[in-house]
Amino acid sequence: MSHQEALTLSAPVRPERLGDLRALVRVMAKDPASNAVLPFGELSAVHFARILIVDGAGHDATLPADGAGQATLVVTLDCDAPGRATVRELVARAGPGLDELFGHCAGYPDHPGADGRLAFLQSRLASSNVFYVHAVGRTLPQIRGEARLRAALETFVDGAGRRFEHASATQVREALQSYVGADAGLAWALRAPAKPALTFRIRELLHKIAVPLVLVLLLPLVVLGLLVWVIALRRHEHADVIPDVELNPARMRELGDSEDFTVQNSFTSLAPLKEGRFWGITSRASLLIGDYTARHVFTRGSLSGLTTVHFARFMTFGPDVGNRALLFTSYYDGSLESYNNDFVDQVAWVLNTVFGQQQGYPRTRWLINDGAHNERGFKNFIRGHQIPTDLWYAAYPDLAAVTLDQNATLRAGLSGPMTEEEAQAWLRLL
Amino acid sequence: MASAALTGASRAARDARDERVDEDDVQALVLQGYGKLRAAAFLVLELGGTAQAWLTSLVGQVTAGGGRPDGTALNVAFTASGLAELGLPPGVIAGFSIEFQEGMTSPHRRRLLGDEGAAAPENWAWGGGGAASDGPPVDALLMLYASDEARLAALVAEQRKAATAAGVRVLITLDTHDIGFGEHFGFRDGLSQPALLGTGRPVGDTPERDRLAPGEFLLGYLNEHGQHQRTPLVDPAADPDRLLAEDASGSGRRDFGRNGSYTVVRTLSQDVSAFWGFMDGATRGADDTSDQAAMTALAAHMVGRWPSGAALTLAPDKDLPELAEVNDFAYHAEDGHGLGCPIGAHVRRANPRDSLPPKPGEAGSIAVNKRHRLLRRGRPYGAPIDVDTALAQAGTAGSAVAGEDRRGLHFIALCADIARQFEFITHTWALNPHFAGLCDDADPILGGHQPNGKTFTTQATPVRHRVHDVPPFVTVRGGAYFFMPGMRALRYLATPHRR
Repeated sequence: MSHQEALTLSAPVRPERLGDLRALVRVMAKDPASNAVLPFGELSAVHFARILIVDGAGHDATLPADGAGQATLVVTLDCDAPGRATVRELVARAGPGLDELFGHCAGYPDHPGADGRLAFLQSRLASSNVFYVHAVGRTLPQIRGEARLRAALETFVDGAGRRFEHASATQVREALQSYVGADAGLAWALRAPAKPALTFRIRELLHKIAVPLVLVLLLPLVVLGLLVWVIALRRHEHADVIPDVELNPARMRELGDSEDFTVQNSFTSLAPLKEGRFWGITSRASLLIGDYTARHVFTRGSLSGLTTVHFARFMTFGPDVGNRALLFTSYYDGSLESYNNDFVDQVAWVLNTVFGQQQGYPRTRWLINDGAHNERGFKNFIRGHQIPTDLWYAAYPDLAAVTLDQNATLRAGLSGPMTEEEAQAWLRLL
Repeated sequence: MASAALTGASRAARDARDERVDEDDVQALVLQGYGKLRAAAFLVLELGGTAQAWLTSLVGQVTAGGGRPDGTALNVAFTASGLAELGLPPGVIAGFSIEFQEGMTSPHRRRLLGDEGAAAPENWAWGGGGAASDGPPVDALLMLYASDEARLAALVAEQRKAATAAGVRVLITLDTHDIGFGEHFGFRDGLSQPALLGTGRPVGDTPERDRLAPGEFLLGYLNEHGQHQRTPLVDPAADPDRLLAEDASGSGRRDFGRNGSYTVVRTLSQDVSAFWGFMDGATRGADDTSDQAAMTALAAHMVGRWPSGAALTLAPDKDLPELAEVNDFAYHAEDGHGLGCPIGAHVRRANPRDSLPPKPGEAGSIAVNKRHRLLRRGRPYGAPIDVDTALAQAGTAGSAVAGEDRRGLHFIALCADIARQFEFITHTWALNPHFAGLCDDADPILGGHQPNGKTFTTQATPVRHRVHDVPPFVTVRGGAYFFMPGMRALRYLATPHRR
């Protein structure tokens, strides 16, 4: 089993091809799983995928234009490791489709073979600054298998009628265990899922230890730096002018009309950083902290208590001069309204630290106070910087993240000893 | 860090608690449900170019304040198109919430609200002809109340006449039927209402979790986030007579929204035969005979209350009418696993009290819950039908004929933020098949027209029971988002010189 990787393919669009590219992606978006160009549903390790055509000037006039107003084609894939296998699978399964899609981009070879396609894709791989995974190590086959397992267990209990009425929880659990054990298609569930590869775990452990270690070694400098930073922070928090974000009803309607088809939604925002070196440095530090916490703290089904986000990532975007814009993408359960309410009600301070450097973010106090506690200002900020997701694909569109967690717990509870109370709690998952 | 959020919330609530509502400027329906005025009818109106004259003569008849009217009452509310028709400039209307401007029937909002299939706006009796089709725009709602049917009939006739004379067209009259304090499936309704703070009315024994800042229901006041809701503002030059109040958030402009409330209206047709027919079919014994007690119990588990109104959390095994009005309970400590009131029961979804994150059972969860409440002012329509008659009709041609609408509820809810209150409750709580850890259960009462979530789970020991393929019991037949302005705003709207 393996961990998850964030693949990003990013390529500049040839200006004269932008219209055709938009038309092509619109057609693809009608059937993300099995469209003729890139049938994402055929990729064996991809949880989510999206295509963005990011047009610097098209959606948000405050954005720095990328080059001479050039648009960028961005394809993101959230997949099980190794990511390079997914890139190869893409080339093997969708070679002509890649030509069709990336043929709109500068630098794409005219008549590439498989090698040429692979080389192009590898040359266009970009990295994410922060990559959040709801449950690190839970692979696509595992998620699908555990969903089947739940369906089977639910059906089994439904079929038992009143047979369990006077049984103990332990007896019901035993019945479920023997049912699963006797079914060749389910017996795998009696074993624990494999852990991510040893090399990955060692690498992550080293990173987890090394970062605090370096900070401790540099403690005097860190403390000094923090002091200077806090003073500058307070000065900016007082002095910065924060323009009101005005929402355009027609744009809100366009965005809304592509949301809430299934339990999951896709969110994309692109926001420039606040001006000045201070915010540039703060943003870099914040991305590093975000990276650290996403890799080592929020790895088990909860983003600081929030259980609705499947995958999320931050990428810096735009030219290498001055402060760049931040591209944020996520897949979450429920409506944007509930997503925002969760942020405001439960993790406002986290949002302050990760979004607080972006233009239009409501005023913070010591960074962790106010900010997203300002409900109106925060919702306007989020919606105001949202851009359309031109296409997105989900491998398990009807499963909420909490359901994935419950399914995994259900499977884990099929093995090992349990007290009667534990068995009762376990049966409540059904 | 969560304590920072709680501190902010409690500070906000404290500030909000100090505010006094200017009751004389509030249309009375916000402050009371007119329980003694048993007769009611609602006129759905299309305004014409001469509507301002109609409004001018209407303003003096509008019921305002906290005093109990005797005899009759009248309230009025407008859609975005109605306000435009009355000459409110686009720049002011842009200050209303996005969802109010967009209306209830856009592709997105119909998905949020589950208005699909037979419940799609195309099939509505009123309000469905928004931007999507050529139907007449709904501009206004005239709400008429009287102590008896005779007085109501006179009031309706008088108002129809006045409207017609002024070129205002009555698109449909929504009649109501006094069936006591219940709804047509046979359950007591309207038991759990939040109390608005800052009014003269004592909140007395209202539990703390039901006491809400006025800004949750009225524009111009602090809400449970300690903030003022977005509100439509008017340039002082456009209000030379100072008819409107100053903007409370200090912009220097005048607040058209102050003391007004968003008014969500939905005509919910109830198929009583389908309801009891399903309960009967799902609870029949091995010999295929009906089991009256089991039928009632299943229905009560879906509703979350027994027919008397007694909450299942307090009366898990059978109806205890003496508990009908006992409403001071929470779910987490008393019924955390849904063994009394199922997790997916209608009332538990509509108001989960203390049971959801971030801190089930604690103040943090109650604070979040307060941000998603509604003042309900609905009235049933259509003659009631008893269970036996409903069962006799079940499965016959009398049941669930498309387009047929014999009885139901004109659901009316007041709030200050349609997206955070009404739409959130409907989408995130009621219709969400994954609500609170469930897997495939939408609201058993409201969720019937959704593609998913047709399972209903009753939590039990050692293991839950489920019923499958719960059919639609409730079908939306009309609706719109209105705004019920304060009295000063109404006078402003009715003043011609402004243009």
